[in-house]
Formats: sequence, C-alpha cells, structure tokens
Amino acid sequence: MEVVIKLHGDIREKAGTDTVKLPINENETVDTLLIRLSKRHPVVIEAILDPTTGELKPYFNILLNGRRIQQLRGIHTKLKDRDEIAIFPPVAGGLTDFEKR
Amino acid sequence: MGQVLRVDLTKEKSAVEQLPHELVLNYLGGTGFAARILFNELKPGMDPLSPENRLIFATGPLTGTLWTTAGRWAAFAKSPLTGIWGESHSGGFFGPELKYAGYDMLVLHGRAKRPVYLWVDDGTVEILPAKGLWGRNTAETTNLIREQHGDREIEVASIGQAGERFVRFACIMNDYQDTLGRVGLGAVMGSKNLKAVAVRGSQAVKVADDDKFMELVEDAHERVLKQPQAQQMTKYGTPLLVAYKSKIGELPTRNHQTGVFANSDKLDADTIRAKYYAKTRSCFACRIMCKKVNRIPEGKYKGTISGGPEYESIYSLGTNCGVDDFGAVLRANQLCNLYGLDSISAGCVIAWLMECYERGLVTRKQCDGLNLKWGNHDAMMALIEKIAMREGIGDLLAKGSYYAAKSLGKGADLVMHVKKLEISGQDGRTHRSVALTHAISVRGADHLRSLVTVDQLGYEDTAAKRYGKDKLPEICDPYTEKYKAMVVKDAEDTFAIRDSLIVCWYSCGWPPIFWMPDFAAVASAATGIKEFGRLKEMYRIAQRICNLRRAFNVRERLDKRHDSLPKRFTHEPMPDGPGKGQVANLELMLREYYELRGWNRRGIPTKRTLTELGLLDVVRELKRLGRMR
Amino acid sequence: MARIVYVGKGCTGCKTCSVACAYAHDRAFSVKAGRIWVVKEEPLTDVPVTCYQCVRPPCKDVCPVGAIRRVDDLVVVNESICIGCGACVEACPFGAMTLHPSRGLAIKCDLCGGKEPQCVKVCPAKVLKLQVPAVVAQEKRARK
Repeated sequence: MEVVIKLHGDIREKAGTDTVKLPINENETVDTLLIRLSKRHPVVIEAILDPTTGELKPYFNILLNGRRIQQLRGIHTKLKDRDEIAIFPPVAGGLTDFEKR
Repeated sequence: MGQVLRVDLTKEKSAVEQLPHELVLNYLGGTGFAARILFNELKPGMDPLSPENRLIFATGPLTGTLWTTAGRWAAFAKSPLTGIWGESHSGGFFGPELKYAGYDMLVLHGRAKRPVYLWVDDGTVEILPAKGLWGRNTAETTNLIREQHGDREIEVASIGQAGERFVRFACIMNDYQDTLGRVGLGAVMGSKNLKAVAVRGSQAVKVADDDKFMELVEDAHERVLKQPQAQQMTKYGTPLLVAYKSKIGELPTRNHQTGVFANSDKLDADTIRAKYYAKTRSCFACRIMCKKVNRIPEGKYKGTISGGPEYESIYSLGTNCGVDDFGAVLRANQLCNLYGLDSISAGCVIAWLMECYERGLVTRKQCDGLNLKWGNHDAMMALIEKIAMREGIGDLLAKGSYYAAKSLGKGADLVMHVKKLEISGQDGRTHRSVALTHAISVRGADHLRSLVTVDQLGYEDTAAKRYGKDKLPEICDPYTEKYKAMVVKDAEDTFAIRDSLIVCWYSCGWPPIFWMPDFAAVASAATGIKEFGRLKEMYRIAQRICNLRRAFNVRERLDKRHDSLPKRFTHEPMPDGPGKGQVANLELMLREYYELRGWNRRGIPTKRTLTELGLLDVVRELKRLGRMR
Repeated sequence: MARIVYVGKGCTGCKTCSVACAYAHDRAFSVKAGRIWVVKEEPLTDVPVTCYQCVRPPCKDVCPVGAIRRVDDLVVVNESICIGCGACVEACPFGAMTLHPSRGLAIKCDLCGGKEPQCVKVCPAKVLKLQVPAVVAQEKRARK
C-alpha cells in the first residue's frame, strides 16, 4: 500500500521535488505519515511543523484527496491505498526573494 | 476636502465643484459617492449607452497616500451589459494622478460630437480631438498621448477597439496591464465618443492627522510583511490560487461543467514561475507587489511578453475553455488588454459558444468556419479579435452571453450568468459561500464585492477568533450552507468600506490583513472626521451604501427572482473531484441573507431599514415607482 | 562619498520611494515632489534614479547664482539663493535634479539630512541602499 504526497510552493523548492511516494501500513494516519516523511525529507517537516508543539504551523493546509484534514479527523485521519495528500504553504518560508540578499 | 470635476461632453464644457461635506460624511468615498450620485442623477430605465448615463471615475480618502494596498481607483455607471449597477476597480497609477491633479472624482456625461479625449492637467481641462487615436489599441493610445504632450509620465485611461464598437463587456485600461475590467464601462466611454482620459497632476495630497496617519502607515507596512498570504502573493501573484482550487475541485472547467481540470499543473503558479516568469511589478505604493510579467520562450506563442495573466484570466481563457497552453492564455489575455475587453466575460462568452458547438446547437458554418471544440486556442484567439472588431460571429458574442443566447434562440440554459454578468472563476457547489456571493452581488455574478474564502482555505483558528468558536466546523466547510449568509453579509459591509477608501481586495483576504477596525482608524486619521473612527458608524455607512446600491437595482425592477444561480450550480451535481455530487442550496442562504440585511422576502429593502440609514428619499422614490408598498 | 544606490534588478516600479521622499520633505504625498523617481518602460523596465552626489557636479557648474555647493560629500542646493531657472535640471546627466512642482525651486536628494534615508527604509523590494560606490565595487569583486 502506498500514498502520493504532492508538495507545493516553497515546500516543493525545499524538497527538490513535487511528488513523494511513501508506503503505508494498515492503520496509517496523517500524523504517522508525517513521521515517515520526516525521515525521508526532514526539510519538509521542518517547514510545515512547529518544532515545539509538533502541530501544523498556522495557515498551512494538508488536503486528503482534495479535502482539508480539519474537515475530516485532523491529523488522526486514516489513510488508505492510493490516497493523495497535498501540502500547501501559505507562508513563504519567512523570507521573500527580495530579502534573500 | 477635494474637488469634483464635472465634464459635459455634449456642450464640451467642464466645471469644478467642491466635494460636498455631507457626501463625505455619509458615504466616505469611491463606491459610496457613486451610489449617491448615480441614484440621484440617473432615471430608471435609461439606456446605458445614451448620453444621459454618468461615467464616474472615483478615488477615496486614501488614494495617493502611502497607506499600502491603496493604489487603486474605480469607475461607475449604469452597465450596458447588465442594465443595472455597474462598478469596476483597477490598480496601476491613474487614481493617485487624478488626486494629484486636484480631483477626488471625475463625473462625465453627455456625448461628444466627434471622437475626443479628455486632457486634465491640474486646473487645465481640455476636450481634444482623438485624431490618430480612434481605432488604436489601448497601449498605442497611451503611447501616442504621451508623445503628443511630450510627457512620458502622463497617466492615461483608455478604451480600445472594443469600446469604440460598444462591445457590451468592453473595458477601460490604464498602465498597460491594469483594467477596470467588468460590466462594460468601456462601451459607456465609447458611447460618449470618449477615447481616453489623460491626467497629469503636480499637487500633493495631505491628510488631517499626520502623526497618527503615518503611525498607521508603518503598522500597515509591517503587517503586509508578516501576513502569510501576502508573502505568497509577492512571489506568485494571483495564479497561486490555481493549484489549490484544482485540488479541492473548484477550478471551473469547460463552461463551469466541472471543477476539475486535467492539466491544471501546466497553468499553475509553480510552473509559471519556473518557465515563464520575467518580472514582478506593483501598483502604486503597494507593498504586496503581486503583479507579474511573463514571457513565452518557445512554441507557437514564442516571444509574447505581457503583464498577467491573473487567476481569473487563467480560468476564463484557460480552464473554462479547456485550454491548457499557457502561451495561449498569456497571448489571449494580452489581446484582451490591447483591444480593451473584459478577459472574464470574453472567455466566458467563448466558453458558452464552445459548449453550444460541442452539443451541436451551432454549426461550424455559423461559427465562421471555426472548429470550436474544447481547448482549441487558435479558435479562441480568432474569436477574441472578432468580438473586439464585431466581425462575423463576434458581433453576436459582443452582446454578452445572455443576449447572444437570446438572439441565437438557443443555448439559453447554458449561459453561466447572474443578472447577465458572466460568472467569475468560482463554483458554488464546492465553495458554498460563493454561491450566495454570486447570487446577491450588486453588479451581477461578481466575486469581489463579498467573496470570502473561509470555507475554501479554512484556517480554523482565525475563523474562531473572528466569528466565534461555536461556528466551527460548519463555517469552514465548503459543502454546507450554515453560517455562510452571515459571513457573506459581513464581508459585503466591510468591502463596501474597502471600496470607498479604495483599497485592494487583498488587503482583507483570508486571514485578513486589515478589517473594519483598521479601516475605521485610517479613514479617521486621513480625513480628520472623528465619526469614521467609531466602528458603529462605519458599519452604518457600509450598510447605507449596500442598501443604496441595492435600491438602484430595485428601481431597475430587480428582486429575488434575479438573485439566482444557473441551474448548473443548483441542479447539476458536481461531476468530479472531492466535491462530487454537491449542489448549491441557494434558497436557505438567500433567506438568511435577506433577514440579516433587513430586506423583505422579495429582496427589497424595507422602509424601516432604509429609514434607519437616513435613506428617506429612497423610500419615497421606491414607493413612487411601486417597488415598495 | 555616500549616495542612494540601486542594488540589483528587483525594482517593481511601485514609486513608494518617490512618495515617501516627498512626504519626508513636505509632509504631503506626491510623486513629482520627491527627489527619487522610477523610470518605467514597457515591457520590463523599472529603474529608480536619484542624485549621484558627483564630485564635479555639472549642476554646480552651471548655476548662475552659486546656489549649489558641495558640502561634506553631499551636493546641496541653497533654496534661499536659488532663482528657479532650471539650468541645473538641464545640466544633470542623470535627470536627478528637478524643480519643486509648486515652489518652483531646485530640489534634489539630500540623503534625508543625515537621518535614515526614507526611500531606503520604505522600499518594499529592498533594492535601495545608502552606500559608498567603493563599497559597492568591493562587493562586486568579492562576488566575482
């Protein structure tokens, strides 16, 4: 069983890819998936999770098959084979291009 | 305060009036001023292309100052496309220049005997022959006027060939990529034989409380720097909406049939930035800097360099016509800019005809031999030119999709409009609040006067703070009608103030950088009018404006029947994507909205509501015309 | 010899610099009364231009009444002497001198009188810097 993770915006730039495929278990949820993702692409997890609380940074959206996880079961939402997770940043990683000088 | 420049194009005379203090106190600026003037000066049933129509170019108390996102201006008239309230806003630099010339507003009426342009140079106002300008596109017109006057910094608002031919959705352009896009104000200008308005101003704008104002300016700049969506906007511009809307199944495709477009990644912000990005630009003194210029490096449209496209053009000239070629979208958008056409309406009208063609309702012969299958961008390009020049089938399409269907005698149920204005790039089936927005917006299927994205983007914490925790989770749920009327009404009020100060939609998106308290504070500091600083008063002004605009429409015989949606949204379940099966239940939201507005079941403002807002003259007028018992 | 320097290619043509400059001097918002301006050209050009604080200023040379001097590496106009003839405006090779739109006298970049230059402070794209050209050259060499 596997899921497809689509990355957008700055997260895509940081990860160097727009798609990550990960194998999953029977009882996989969004938060266990993020743990898996942190091993493969730690830079993505750094970008989207608050290190002190372990929660999604404000204004980030994770969509499961086009639905925001807050409309489902949040990070405890169960995943199944061939699900698509899309991660969207609203925060441009703190610095815009102009300030990176 | 400021001055109003009144120009009578028939008599070729102009006069300067003082801006009445009462007008400022009760209506603030921009859309507020226009609501009062158009209600007072236009007669119901008047032909929008007659000399009697007023075309108002308006600014607000913040125009020309350093407050950020305030580099905008707006125009108002009775719309020749819809026959009702017409309003359109633009960025660029024209608005501040009008203020620097000494005018808060320009009110045009009448009709010149031959093509002219208006030249406003501080106190010098001249009506000059548009020789060598008439027949030119908007970019050429701007360049020629600047050459003629020997000043490359003159600001020019002009129509292109489309406005000259009264194409019902012709627009007015300024600064090459900024547009008063919707509702056919370009046709109003054309009907007055007015090719352009050129302005040069050497004066300065002062505010009442300098220290307080500049404190708010600094705070505003800081907030934009920190706001997460603003930062994304700086990097990508409005195209950043494409990928997200594609995922949630709200990217209108093939005449709004569905919300899922197969190759949306070819048109999304990441792709655009990687392959086509050339430069970032900005409206006057704006910190967000969301405008982009793109360039096509290869393929059929190689060499095309143009400002834009905004998200709405990617929708109307891209996904909604089944087109996935970015070069085509950029080139089509450029043509709309040059000819002076509303890119939204143009794309929608073409999409309508494409669906008619695909369903066999029109033949290839009827379409001038064009093969109008979905995605054929050659045909799309050809149609844009035909529409602008009113040639062949373009002449039919130039009426707007509602009247085109009527003339054709076919395809009326495929026209995606509300109040005859083509629907913008949202779908109420998978974004429930927008179903209500489209249905009730004062100029027709407009997204800007009350668009909210709380049920599109979510952000539960922000929603809880603004609306109350008890409203979760429904308020963030795009598939339910609950609480949406409340959010839309609140936004419509706030945006009425926003459109009077004249400030950009992105100043109060989601999460909002600014909201009513911020507008109240800065309006008060700018004008010195203490009442503006009181929130209750601001809301009162907002509701006064919303009711007066509504009354303008009611006077044109509008009521609940027109606050509707195409059957596609209410009866055709969304065929694809995460929102598959969803329809919009408008009735529920409509009733709630009317209640919140203080309107009766037919959508007419009640005597009580109008009286409370000081609109007794409106009560009298509506009674006289039999619109109110 | 410090002056306002345009760093890089990121100017977006917003004109915030012009308006902030005008406000800093006149307490009123204007583009023409600023002492820094953006040159815009379609389709891709936006460039801010202001005084280079020349060592041998052509403006000073042509001024018929000696209203322009060089003081502490800064080219300064003495408005009380200036007659508003505009010779300096024509002489400047950069177009960085102008006559105030209402006062009619010569105005130019004065580096905000030694305080933090307002244009540098407000530029949203952060492409303006108060810098000494030698330092700019040094940075370029280092980057090479």
